[in-house]
Amino acid sequence: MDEFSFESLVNAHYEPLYRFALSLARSEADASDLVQQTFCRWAAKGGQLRDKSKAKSWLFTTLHREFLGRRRHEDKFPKVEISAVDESELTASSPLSEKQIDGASVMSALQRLDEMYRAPLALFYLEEHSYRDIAEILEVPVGTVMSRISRGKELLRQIFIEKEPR
Amino acid sequence: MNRDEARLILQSCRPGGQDAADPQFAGALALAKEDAELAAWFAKQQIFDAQISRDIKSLRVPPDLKAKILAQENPQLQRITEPPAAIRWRHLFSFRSPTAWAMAAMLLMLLSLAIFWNQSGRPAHFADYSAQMVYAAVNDTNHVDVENSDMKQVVAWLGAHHGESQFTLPVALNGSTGLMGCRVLDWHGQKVSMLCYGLNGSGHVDLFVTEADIFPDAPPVDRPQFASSGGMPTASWSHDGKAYLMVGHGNVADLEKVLQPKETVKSLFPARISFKPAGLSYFAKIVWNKPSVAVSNL
Repeated sequence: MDEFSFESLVNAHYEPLYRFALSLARSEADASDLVQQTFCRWAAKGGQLRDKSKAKSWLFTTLHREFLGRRRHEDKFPKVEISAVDESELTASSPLSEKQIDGASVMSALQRLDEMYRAPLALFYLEEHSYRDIAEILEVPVGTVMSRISRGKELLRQIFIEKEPR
Repeated sequence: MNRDEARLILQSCRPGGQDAADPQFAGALALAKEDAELAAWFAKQQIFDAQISRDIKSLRVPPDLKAKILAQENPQLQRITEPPAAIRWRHLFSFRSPTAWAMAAMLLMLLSLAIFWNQSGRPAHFADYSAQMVYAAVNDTNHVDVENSDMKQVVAWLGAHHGESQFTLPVALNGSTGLMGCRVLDWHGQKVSMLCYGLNGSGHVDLFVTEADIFPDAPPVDRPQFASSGGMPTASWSHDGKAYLMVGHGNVADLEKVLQPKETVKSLFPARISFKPAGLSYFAKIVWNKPSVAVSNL
């Protein structure tokens, strides 16, 4: 099968894309939606990409842009559901030692960070991209990515320390 | 390179060893070999990072996501991703089935009745319209068709999309202050224009404009009526053959503020904005109403 066929790309990248989307969007439904929308854009425009080896970066960049576009829209037209509860408030009450950290609690901690740190940190931990690729995906300078990863890690550690039972 | 610089660089070094050959890290890694404290710090970092990385990568992905994505590309696969229940329903309503023919006949009859009922002069009451517009203001996923804060462009867009584009606005809504976007809706075949505002002091307000003569009970001319529909405060009035419905996302006092601006502003009188096509483009003409027009309460 062609390495850059639609199906091959989906097989190779839909899982890390979903996890990145989840770190940004904070809900499974929105994350799934973002991933589907990203591949939808690839189906429509991916053919225009001359250097197919950049397909992975293209997909992550597109997903990030899609998220930013939606967030801008939501900032203007906020949707507040009565049943909405801040998940971080719920998890904060259940202490967690570092040994017990699992995917959900890591994601919950990540989601408490500002998006400025969340996006580079999620990409860093997915280990799919170097810091240079992350800079390209997030469209920020390399130095900015490095300092955001560094600061983001500090904040993440603090969150875990706060969760430790006293 | 000092220890702090090395730390900053090494923070971006992935724990899986993918960056080992990256020259950017070479200097910092070399320093870590000579500096025991830096080496210990880096080792701890890598353990922490490896754990977080493992945990994030273990996050469960919805099992049907891949099938849904592939179905976007290949409509044939869409059938596979449908739940079995949907397939059963489709078989039930196969055109070989007598049940399907009976259902189709019943639907046709109901449709005919609905059309007859609609054409037999059933009046579209303003309260129904109001409820529907409030629903659109609150529940529709796409709140506006276009986001734009320029009144000229918004009115031109409404005109180009067959919405109401000639209307008289209350002073507080005149001009582009607080304008956020617009939308064209359909009410029993009649186009309705919606203007969306985010106003200082009054919050989010949506204004719906359509022809007044489609309602047997159009709101009073130039005298806003305050009410509540679907739990949302509304104000409605008519002016120059148009029916106006304002929906607030706060409380009724916010709407009163919009419709009864301060004296200094009130003295400006509402503006009439009209647009007419000029070739392919539109241009705006603002005509100030004379003081004699009885809209001072607006």
